[in-house]
Amino acid sequence: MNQRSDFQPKIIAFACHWCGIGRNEINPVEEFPKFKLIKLLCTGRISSALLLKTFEKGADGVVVFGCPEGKCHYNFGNKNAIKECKLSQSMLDLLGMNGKRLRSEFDFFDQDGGLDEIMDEFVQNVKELGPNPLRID
Amino acid sequence: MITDIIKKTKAYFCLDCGKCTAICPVTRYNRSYSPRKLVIKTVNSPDGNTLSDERLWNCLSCMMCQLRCPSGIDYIEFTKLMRKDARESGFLGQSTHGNVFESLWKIMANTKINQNRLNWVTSDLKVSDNSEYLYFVGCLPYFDQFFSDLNAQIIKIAQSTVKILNFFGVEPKILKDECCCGHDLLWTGDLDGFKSLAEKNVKLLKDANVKYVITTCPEGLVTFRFDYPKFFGDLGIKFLHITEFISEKITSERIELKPLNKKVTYQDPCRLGRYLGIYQQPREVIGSIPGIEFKEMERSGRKSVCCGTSCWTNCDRYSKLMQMDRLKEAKSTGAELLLTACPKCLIHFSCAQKDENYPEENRIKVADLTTIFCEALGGI
Amino acid sequence: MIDALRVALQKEQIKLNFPELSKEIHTLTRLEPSACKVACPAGVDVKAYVGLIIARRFDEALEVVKQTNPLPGICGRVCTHPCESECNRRKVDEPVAICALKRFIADWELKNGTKKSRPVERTKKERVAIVGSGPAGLTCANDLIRKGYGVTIFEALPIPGGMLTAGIPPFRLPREIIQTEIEAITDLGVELLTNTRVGEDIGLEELLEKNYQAVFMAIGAHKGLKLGIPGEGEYQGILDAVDFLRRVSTGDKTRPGRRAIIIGGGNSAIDASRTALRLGCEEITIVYRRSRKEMPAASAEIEEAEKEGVKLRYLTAPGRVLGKNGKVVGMECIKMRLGEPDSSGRRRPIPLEGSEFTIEADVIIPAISQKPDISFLPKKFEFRISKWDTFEVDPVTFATNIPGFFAGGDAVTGPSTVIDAIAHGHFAARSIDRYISHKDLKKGIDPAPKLSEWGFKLEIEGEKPIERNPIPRLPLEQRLHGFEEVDLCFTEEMAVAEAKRCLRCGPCIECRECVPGCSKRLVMLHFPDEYDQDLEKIPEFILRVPVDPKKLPWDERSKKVLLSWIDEEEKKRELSLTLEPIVCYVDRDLCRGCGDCVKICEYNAVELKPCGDGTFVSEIDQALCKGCDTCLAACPSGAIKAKHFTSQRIEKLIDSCLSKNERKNESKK
Repeated sequence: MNQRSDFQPKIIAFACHWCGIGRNEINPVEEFPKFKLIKLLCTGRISSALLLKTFEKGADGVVVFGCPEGKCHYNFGNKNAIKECKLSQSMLDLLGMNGKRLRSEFDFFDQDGGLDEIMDEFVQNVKELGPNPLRID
Repeated sequence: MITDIIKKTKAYFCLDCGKCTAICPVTRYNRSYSPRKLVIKTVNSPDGNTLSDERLWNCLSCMMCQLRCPSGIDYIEFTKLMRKDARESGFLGQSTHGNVFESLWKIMANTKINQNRLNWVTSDLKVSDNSEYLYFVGCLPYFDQFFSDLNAQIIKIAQSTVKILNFFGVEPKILKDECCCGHDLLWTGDLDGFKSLAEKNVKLLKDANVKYVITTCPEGLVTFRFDYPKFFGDLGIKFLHITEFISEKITSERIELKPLNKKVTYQDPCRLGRYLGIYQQPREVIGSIPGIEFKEMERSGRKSVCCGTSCWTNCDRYSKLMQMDRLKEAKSTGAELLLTACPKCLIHFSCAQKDENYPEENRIKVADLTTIFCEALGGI
Repeated sequence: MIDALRVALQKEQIKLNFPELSKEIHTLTRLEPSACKVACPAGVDVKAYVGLIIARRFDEALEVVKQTNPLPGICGRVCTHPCESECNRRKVDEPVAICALKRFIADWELKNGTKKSRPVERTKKERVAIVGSGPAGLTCANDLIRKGYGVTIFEALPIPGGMLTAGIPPFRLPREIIQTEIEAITDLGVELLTNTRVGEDIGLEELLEKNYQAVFMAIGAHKGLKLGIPGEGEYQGILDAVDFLRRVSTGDKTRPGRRAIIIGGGNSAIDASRTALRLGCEEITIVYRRSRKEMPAASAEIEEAEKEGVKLRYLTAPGRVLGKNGKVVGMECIKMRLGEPDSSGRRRPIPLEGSEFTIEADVIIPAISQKPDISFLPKKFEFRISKWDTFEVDPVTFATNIPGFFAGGDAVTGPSTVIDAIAHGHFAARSIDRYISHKDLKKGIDPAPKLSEWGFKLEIEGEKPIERNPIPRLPLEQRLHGFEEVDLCFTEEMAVAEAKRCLRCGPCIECRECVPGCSKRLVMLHFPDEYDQDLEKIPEFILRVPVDPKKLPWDERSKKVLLSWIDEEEKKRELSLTLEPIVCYVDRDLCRGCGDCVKICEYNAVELKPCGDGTFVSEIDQALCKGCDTCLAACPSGAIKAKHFTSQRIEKLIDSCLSKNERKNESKK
């Protein structure tokens, strides 16, 4: 993969409405400096189809933020999300895209605590992996 | 142009006799679907709204109707071309599994993708880069991952195949970067998607420098034999289904097989049977295994019924009914094992039996022919 | 207050509503417009801009004002603010200082850089002539140029502004404010010809020949009335207030005399007295025949004049002018008492026999009233003129009896207020537009509603009094040396604090946040143009409010709150809306009855129902479903569908996320 020094990964995050990521309640999409956040009602909505679609559309990395296990607002949505994320990771591995392009974090985050560190690390990982071959520039 | 499709498929020859609809397995369950009506409607008003008709997506392309049609209308080609126009007009069928396979294919088709799909090649399987034979695995590793909860052991098909080939002294070549043959995209009207996958495969196959390509997927075989030459000319390669290969070998060589005391029956995959005329070879393969008691289903051979869904599209209530009836039919032969030669049949029949409400008396194990033959050879 | 909200809001609990992700929706019923808005002759959305000031969105507040009032800085200083007189806060303590707030936002823009107006594209070939560049003429020009007409204003004086410049002294209305606001209008493409007196430099009939399709006469009332007492006209030293103020405004800063008598009780009298003071007059007496209570001038102005040293003599009428050597030396006055109220509602002054006394003075400035100077009208035009020399016009259309000629402002009412003139300018512009496009001038126009008809009941019990922020003023010792502005502007903190005193009559603060604020365009509002109602169109709007409006008050969230303003036409109709709940549903034909969804759902919202042919179909109980969509993600056949988070929608969001990035990168390059 061609490693460009100015490579700015396009990262899409999915989060549920309840896990505390995101600052406003109204916009379904929010822009953070390092990633764009798409908010769903519950991470249970996430299927491997959706995650792979995001990669197909050219995202360099995808993060799923959900509530901690057992703390899902709907009790069970994140269990399904965990399963789907694992499945998608194995599919990405098969495709040679590396499952590390997909990260799932099931924890509550404060606005400032923890989130930045995770995202810094993830962005670094994705930078090392290089751009998504399907990325359209 | 729809008028071109009518001309090309000879749809205007339709006599309105209704034989197609009478034989159509979908119509049997879903009364709103009728091949005759679709054809007549399109012929009568080519500018009409057939493209937006969602019933266009109910066809299984099982070719049942086409064999009965007195006018020789190419109904499956009609469906294929109409779906292409429909897709271009923005109409689509209901894809299953959230359309995950289309994403997979689109990613696979990218030339910069380096797949990592050979984990299933265990050390006891002998493969070689210098061989006349190439085993085209197709989507099996992906299906195996995606349908892991069906316990259908899909990747075992590939492993058994290599074992079988090894048994007959063939160390097949295996491609690291082959991708889906494009069958499903072609049949859901995405010609561009098909071409991008096929181009990648054609290049790989040409570079592989082999004489024979063995497949375990009848859909792939149909696509290689009939569709690739249409777009890319003759590749100079003989494409064989694994059952063709085995049946040829067992008639020419004497082999020792382990007896398997099982009552089995066989599902003719549409592509293998009606499309390619490979009815006899799978039966020869089954018959060669000592101890096996083979029961023919009532509807078999040319009359065999489809496994209920195709191309990951419109897998609905009627598909389920069709599958349940077919499984009941298989069970009623007294067989304990339903054999098939197509991974999709395996997936669909396993899936249909997955739910708790499935009637216990109709439950029947489903397996691919290759895995059983491999077992008879000494097994994995 | 809370009760009023409760009446107006019908909260409907529905557990859903996708894009805003809120659990509740609210139906707003706007009972009636706020009193301040109804009270304003020009219909300025007072509550809207006050609400925006609270949110510290001053530029948008000014936008709101400018929609109906093109002269915010001027009105913020000299408006008689009828809105404040009707403000419901007055029932608690004192009205909100609306006028000063308007001035604040106008000054805020001046301080933070005026947005330059861009010329409006001329879309119509017709041209309109406007005679007079006072508030009525300017407003009319502003409206018409925005409609795409060509507009020319003819001004007789060397400086534009009409009575704003000629009649109001700079210490109340600095010239640069007038200049800025006139420039904002001329920058739109209005042609302004000063030193061009219609009737002398160009004839009225010539205008029609020069291809103006309509004429708006906003000539004002610049001719002072005579006192009608003995000695008037015999001696030098009698100077009408309007002439005096105009002379000063156009540059003559000579002292009129040492001692001055000013006659009258209106704003002109006070303005004249305070101007004379600044020109060096030592002794100034205002003579008014009624008591202070009846004085029409703004009470704040009277107070300021007194503080500056002007003497006021109430219940005193001029008797005769005293003169010596052809010059005025004083005036004989007579004391009055108040009798029964007359037709104007004010008590009639009655002279007290034998109470004559004398005030010494070098100059007498009558400021009793003015009338329009209609000498420019050619004989062949037979305009209908009242006995006060004002134009008689249709009260709704402002059309004169001669087609194509319209009149407004003081020329119609006699000396009146700036805000009335602005209102006339709007009405005349509407009529002129209709006249040129051959539409019925009157169709569909209701006379403005009167306040009493609205019958707004506001529960003010429990409202704590909050002191009105006093308007800062220039210290006395700094005033009299020049014409520096006396009233000063609120500071930002004062303005916000003052705006917060607004009781927000009615549930909607008219912040209009909802339209730009709703990224999904769910809030649709129909804002009918008050002056341009296309009456064939039925106003249509849907209102969806995802946040409890009661939570909005003044916290940070009010910036996000989606509230609405509802068209007055629709004031009586209750708005209700139906939103589809966030639930999943099953396409029965597609469902294979595998039961994956049943296994997943812990709410027992999904059930398998037998179909009778051996298959099952799952059914989602919409009352139990919480819309988490997990079953949708797990459904293999795609039979479960979402009403809100559809795959197409999410894909669009992904697309937008990925493409936005690109756009940004491009702009960086």
